[in-house]
Amino acid sequence: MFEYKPFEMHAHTLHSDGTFTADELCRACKAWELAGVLLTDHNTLSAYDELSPELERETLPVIHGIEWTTFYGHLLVIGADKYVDWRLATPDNIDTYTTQIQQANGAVGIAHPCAPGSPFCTGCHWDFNIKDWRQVNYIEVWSGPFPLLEPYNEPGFQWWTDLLNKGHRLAASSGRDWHGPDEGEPQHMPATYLGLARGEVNTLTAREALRAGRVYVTGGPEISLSLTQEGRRFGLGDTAKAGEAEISVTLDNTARISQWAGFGIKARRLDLVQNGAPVMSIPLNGDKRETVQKDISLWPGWLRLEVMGDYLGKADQLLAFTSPVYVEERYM
Amino acid sequence: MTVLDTVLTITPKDDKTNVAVPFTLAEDADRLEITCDFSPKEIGDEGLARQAALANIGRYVPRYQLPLYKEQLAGGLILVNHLTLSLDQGENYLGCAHRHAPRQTHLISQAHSSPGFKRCRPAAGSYRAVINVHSITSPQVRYHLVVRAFREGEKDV
Repeated sequence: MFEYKPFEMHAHTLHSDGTFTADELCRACKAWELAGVLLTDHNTLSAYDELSPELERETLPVIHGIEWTTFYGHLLVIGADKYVDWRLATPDNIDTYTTQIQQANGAVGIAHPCAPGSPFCTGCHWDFNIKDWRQVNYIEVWSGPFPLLEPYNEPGFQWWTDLLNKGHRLAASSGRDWHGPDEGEPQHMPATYLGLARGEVNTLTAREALRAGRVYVTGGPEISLSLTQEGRRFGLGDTAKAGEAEISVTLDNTARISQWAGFGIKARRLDLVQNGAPVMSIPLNGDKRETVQKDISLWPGWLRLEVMGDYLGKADQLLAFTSPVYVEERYM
Repeated sequence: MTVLDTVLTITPKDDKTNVAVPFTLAEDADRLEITCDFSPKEIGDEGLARQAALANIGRYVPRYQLPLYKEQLAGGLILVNHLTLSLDQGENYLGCAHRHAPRQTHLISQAHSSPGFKRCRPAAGSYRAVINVHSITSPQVRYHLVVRAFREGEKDV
């Protein structure tokens, strides 16, 4: 029913401070073997005037977005039916505007939350005081190419984990924050996979995947994860019951391999993490396609998968991770 | 015709605010030309830049990462004043030029608008140029804003 496909989730053109034309961006994303790109220019939608059905057919579909580039944080707004004014947001009224964006059918993501802010990059650090987390759908926990080398991604990933532990339902994404054509050395560019209804790539299906939490991030292999409990199957973003379940994970080490083979990536083990703590480690044998099935006890809270392995000559690195499957109490 | 020609002084008190500059177009036009020019862009005073950086980095960086960032800052630091321009036609947001150059010229017309802005006919009515003051680190910034309106064939309105 849902097919996962790879996206770039954060990109700019010369309609803000990028150097890509929309045409160049689409062609660059196609070359990275992506299925779609989320266009998120700073505070403007004018790049969409450059798009045409012919360009998108020839390259890839463009998901409509904007990066709300405010003084107190950057918000990725996806698929909103109308413009909501970014200039009115202050640290204590942000819930008003995230609610307005949701009412306009937009999905809401927080970009690079732990990047240094003013005076280095005003708004790049998240300084808003959110009270109503239901209006936020996801957090961009990996930002930039080579995200493991970017120091601010580590506290960003931890912040997401802490928010999950407080009971908030939040997916996670990566975004290159891509501003222009690559020059020089090859760049490692993780992809965010979205679980799309019927596999269709468009703004509506991408937005619904983000809202539902059908999202995972990988710098290497493709992931397929499902839980089976009492005859029912659960995927990312779904809610299972506390108790026994069977988890099935498949890793495909061949998908888009030309985009990541040059960075010394090799998946070595799967870690299942419940409520922030690893509960099971499963070694991998390195097959091109590998499926593991295990029984697992689910505790109320959340569960995610982390793929660990080699990266740029270092062992035990985080190569990929999923958004959570949630687990609720079982009431008698 | 020159619709607006004004010089504003932006100071650190305006940091993280939007400074609205309203103007009125008395007659329909075919093209608006908006030029903004501010200085300084870069903070030339290295001591001031370093002081601003070190005073703030601890807000953003976990303690265990501070040495890493301080090392990066010691390797050279250029802080900038960052101001962008957004534009409203009546109640409609026309867009924003979120770019870093301190001197920019933007055109608004039905056939073509500069990157960042919607294409639209500059009809008579009220407008608002909004200076988005993302970051001010220098003691002040001089901001020169000029709006001109043109009819077809480059004839001034």
